[in-house]
Amino acid sequence: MLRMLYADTRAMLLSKGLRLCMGACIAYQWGYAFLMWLLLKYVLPGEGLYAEEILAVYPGIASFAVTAATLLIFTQEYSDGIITNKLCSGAKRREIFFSLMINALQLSAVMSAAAQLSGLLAAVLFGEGFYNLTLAEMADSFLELLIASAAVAVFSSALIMILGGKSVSYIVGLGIAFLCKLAGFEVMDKLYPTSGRCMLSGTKLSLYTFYDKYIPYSHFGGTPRWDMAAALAGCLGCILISLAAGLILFRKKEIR
Amino acid sequence: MDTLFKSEALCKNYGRFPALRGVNMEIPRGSIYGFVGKNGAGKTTLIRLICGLQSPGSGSFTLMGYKNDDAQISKARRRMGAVVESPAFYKDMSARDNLIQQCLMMGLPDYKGVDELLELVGLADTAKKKARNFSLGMRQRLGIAIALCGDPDFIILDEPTNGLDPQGIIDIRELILKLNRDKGITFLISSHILDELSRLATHYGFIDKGVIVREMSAEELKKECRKSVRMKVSDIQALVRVMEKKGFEYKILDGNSADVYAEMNFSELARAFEEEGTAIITMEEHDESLEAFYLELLGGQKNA
Repeated sequence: MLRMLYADTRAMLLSKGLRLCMGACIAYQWGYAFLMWLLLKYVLPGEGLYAEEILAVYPGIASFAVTAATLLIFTQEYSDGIITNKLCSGAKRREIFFSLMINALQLSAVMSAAAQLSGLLAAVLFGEGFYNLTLAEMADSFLELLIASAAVAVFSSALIMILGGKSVSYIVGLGIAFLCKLAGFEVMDKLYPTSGRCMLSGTKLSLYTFYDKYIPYSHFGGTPRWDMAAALAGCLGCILISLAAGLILFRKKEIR
Repeated sequence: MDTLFKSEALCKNYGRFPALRGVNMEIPRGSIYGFVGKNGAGKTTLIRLICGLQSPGSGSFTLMGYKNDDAQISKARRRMGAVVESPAFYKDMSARDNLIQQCLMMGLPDYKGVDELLELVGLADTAKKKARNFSLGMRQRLGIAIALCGDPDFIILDEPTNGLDPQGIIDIRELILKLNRDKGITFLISSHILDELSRLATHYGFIDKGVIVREMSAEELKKECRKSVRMKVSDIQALVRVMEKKGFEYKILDGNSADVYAEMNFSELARAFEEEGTAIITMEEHDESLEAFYLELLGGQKNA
């Protein structure tokens, strides 16, 4: 499987999809930092743009960015017939599947690291230093981002392997990311209201807490609300379910 | 000649539609096997089964000594290359990068042969041009080059000349013949361009409605593709009377022409037509093409 993984990693790093998604994320981060800098310098002088705000830009869009990148890069496995080539060359389905999943993990790590570095650079250029974020908290946030991105990447890659490289993969993948983002707003609003206290109780409270604690999409906030064990348990659960369901269905899939 | 691929009563259904209905087929090692059939006859389905893209409903096949349900069949597939339907490659990579990618994926120790392969298929001068910007012919060549990675013993080409210009068709044909002759590679080629196939194939398999109608060697086919004399006459009824009288087999084509399948003495025939008071306008020798043979084969099957 290592030869397959090596080849897949090379293909991922050379792919246009990765460059496109990374470029879009960095442009968004830098565009935000630059516009805020302009705004605070000329329109609202006296206000400061802190590094925390700039660093929180990528986590805000990371679920979409990772989903879009996995879709753009890995749907070509089907649409360009790469899977056909692999199977014709004697690769086993299990090898193909696990290689792609590990590659998805690598992709999410590459994207998170690059976005974090770019965010730090933008913070140095446009920010006025950290307001109260410590190095340990920053590392904590980054770790959470890495874990959540890995879970989302594996989930959407498994979706591609199950659904094939059709537009339905895009609709389902991005649709889930969008719905989870909406659900995240609702959960945040009800669990952590800006004024007053949380009014949820019973099953609803359990459900909202479960979502907030264990669903990978809720760990993209940039500031961890639960301990790392909760994030790890939720994301690991999502990865394992995606791997098991994906492998079972992909092994039975009729490729056309 | 030993057998490289053999299928026994191979069946495959898509829902209720039977795509393959008990296919028995044998591909001799070292042959160029022309796989002939209409759209939807089951050619690509069989190719998909051989490549492991789909699994058979019932029946079995043996590929290079490994049965289809043997876990080791991937070993046989490592000695195989294929272009199924359309050539598969990474569109964001150059031709060279695509071949390196295939070598890496197959775990080849090095990719020294990549430049030689590019030369062989005529893509050596594409440099860094992305495969996305390749013409149809170039894509087809790249697909074949990828299939050739790792020196395979067996190559499957599904409609390899689809969309190629005449020069491209000749180039691909020459390439296939060269690889078969020099490296002893066995080819399975499915094609609609039957006359083109007849310039290549050493063996044929005709498939219709998921059933192999006939398998034969090129020599056998040559014998069966009868020669005829195409005659154009002023009165077709007179031709019918003459042919009936002489007991010759014939086929009316239109109001004044017919194909006659017989060894005939032209002077005697001319005399017979003169006696009928009719004139022979033209007369020429005519070869029944693979296409005509195929149509006749299918017609025969339908009428059977």
